[in-house]
Amino acid sequence: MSAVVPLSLEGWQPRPRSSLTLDFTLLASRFGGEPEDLDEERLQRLVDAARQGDRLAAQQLYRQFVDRVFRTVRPLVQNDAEAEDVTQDAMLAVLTSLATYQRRPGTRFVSWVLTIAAHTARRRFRRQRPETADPFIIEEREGEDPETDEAIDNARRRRALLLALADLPERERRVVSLRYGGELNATEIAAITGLSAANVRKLCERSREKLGRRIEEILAGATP
Amino acid sequence: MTDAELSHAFVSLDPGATARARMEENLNRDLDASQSSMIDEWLSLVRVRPVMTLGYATAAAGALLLTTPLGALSLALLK
Repeated sequence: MSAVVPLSLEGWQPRPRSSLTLDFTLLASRFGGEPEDLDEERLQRLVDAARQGDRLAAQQLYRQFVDRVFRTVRPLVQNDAEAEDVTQDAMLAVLTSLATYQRRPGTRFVSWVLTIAAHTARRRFRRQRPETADPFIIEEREGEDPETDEAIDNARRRRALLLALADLPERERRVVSLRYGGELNATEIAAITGLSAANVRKLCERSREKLGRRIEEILAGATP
Repeated sequence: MTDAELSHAFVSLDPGATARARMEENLNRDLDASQSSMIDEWLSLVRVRPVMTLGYATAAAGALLLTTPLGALSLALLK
């Protein structure tokens, strides 16, 4: 059974807001709804509020990006527990370094968040590969009912993807994670990895083909 | 495998509900622990934007000396 963690309101001071939409977004987050994808303007307002110590704004930013960060770092580390650690460290670094964030034209906030996440993952687990041990260990997750068809199917797809990703060289795995886990474009990935955008596109294309073939093999049961 | 299919496959890597709750709880704890003093925050601002921050600080100190008796009192003490 999943534990319900109450939102911490310690230190929160109500303050006048300029946007009703922002209030509704924050309200929705308090009732546990899926975070709505925010555009850059609204993200910037949240960043400004969080910089001024608004804890609710910081939590809204956190919920906006935590899944994407986890999805990006999971292929770069060995297991879910390590991905949790890296995600936590990266999100803490993001929220405590907001003062250093400078908005640049044509660059999205998520790109800055995932730069921190990628560097955190690289620093901590540089020489490790994703988990290749008994995949059933990674299939069952707390808080999920493993008996339902959907959960079983999701676990199979998850296992196949992780095993296929483990076969990729580190550089390709990083690029693919940023592209498909972080949903960044080639230019943004190029800025993080130091590769050219054209090279990123080529690597993505090649890795996608490799992953597709490997996932099919695993799902067909040809290779454990 | 298409771009969209691979993006969809990556969604299966999302953290579970328990992991999500645990991370949020730990982050709240870490944020509380990382609360820094005003001096620390000001110094970090100096590191990020040294010229602008020190310029503002100098202007504020100047305004304080010129618009309050503080400046006159300091001069009197020096004499």
